[in-house]
Amino acid sequence: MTNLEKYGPLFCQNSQKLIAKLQDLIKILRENPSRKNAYQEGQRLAHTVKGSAEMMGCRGLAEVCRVMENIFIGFQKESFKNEKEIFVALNEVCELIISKISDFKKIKNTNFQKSISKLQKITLTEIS
Amino acid sequence: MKKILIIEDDELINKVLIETISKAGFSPTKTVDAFQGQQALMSLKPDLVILDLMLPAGHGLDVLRNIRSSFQTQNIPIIILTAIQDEGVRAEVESQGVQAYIKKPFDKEQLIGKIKQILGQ
Repeated sequence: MTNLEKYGPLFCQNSQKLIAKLQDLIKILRENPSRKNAYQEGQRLAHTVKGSAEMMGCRGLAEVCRVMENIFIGFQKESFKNEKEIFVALNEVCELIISKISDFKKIKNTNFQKSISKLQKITLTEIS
Repeated sequence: MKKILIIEDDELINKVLIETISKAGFSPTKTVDAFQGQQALMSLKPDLVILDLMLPAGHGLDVLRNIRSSFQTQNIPIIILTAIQDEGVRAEVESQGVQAYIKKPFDKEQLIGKIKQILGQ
């Protein structure tokens, strides 16, 4: 798509809000991992940021959100035994995204490869 | 002017859709969750619905089933606009009878072309 740069500030503001919500959710889940509906909400939040990041050409952000979305799907299938470690890693990723997302050019040029690799290593989630 | 109901939670995508659809000469109305979308469906009586699948307050697939199961809304054309890549979900959605399934990120011209085709313009 072209002419999307003008939506950069809205994209950053909106994504920042959604990632902050995701971070709050992770905090809740760390304290109470049995809240099943919170995993669905986490999946939806990561999915929403992924969708708009793809549209804005922010491939790295879209990719890391896709991995997070898959992790929340995995939680719903009870695929993981190291939940606490995963929550810590997810929280770190959210922190990193928030630190970059106020600047559209910065977020567009961040590939999040280290974060993706770390999440993959912890969860053994494959990127297809 | 033909009325298009948008059921989409992402603020950015809503803005892009509203601008694109208005510019093409249609009248868009945005709603941001499944509940609000279904309420607007009854009051607005749209000519076409653009429906996201991952929504707050209910799944888009449930909205789709509700639209198709009510005699008042069953014939409204629906375009699914989603970032879901799962082919199983796509098959399930298509079995409910939708006019188009467009994956995000979407092409604005392709979307408008599809809307015009569906609405016979």
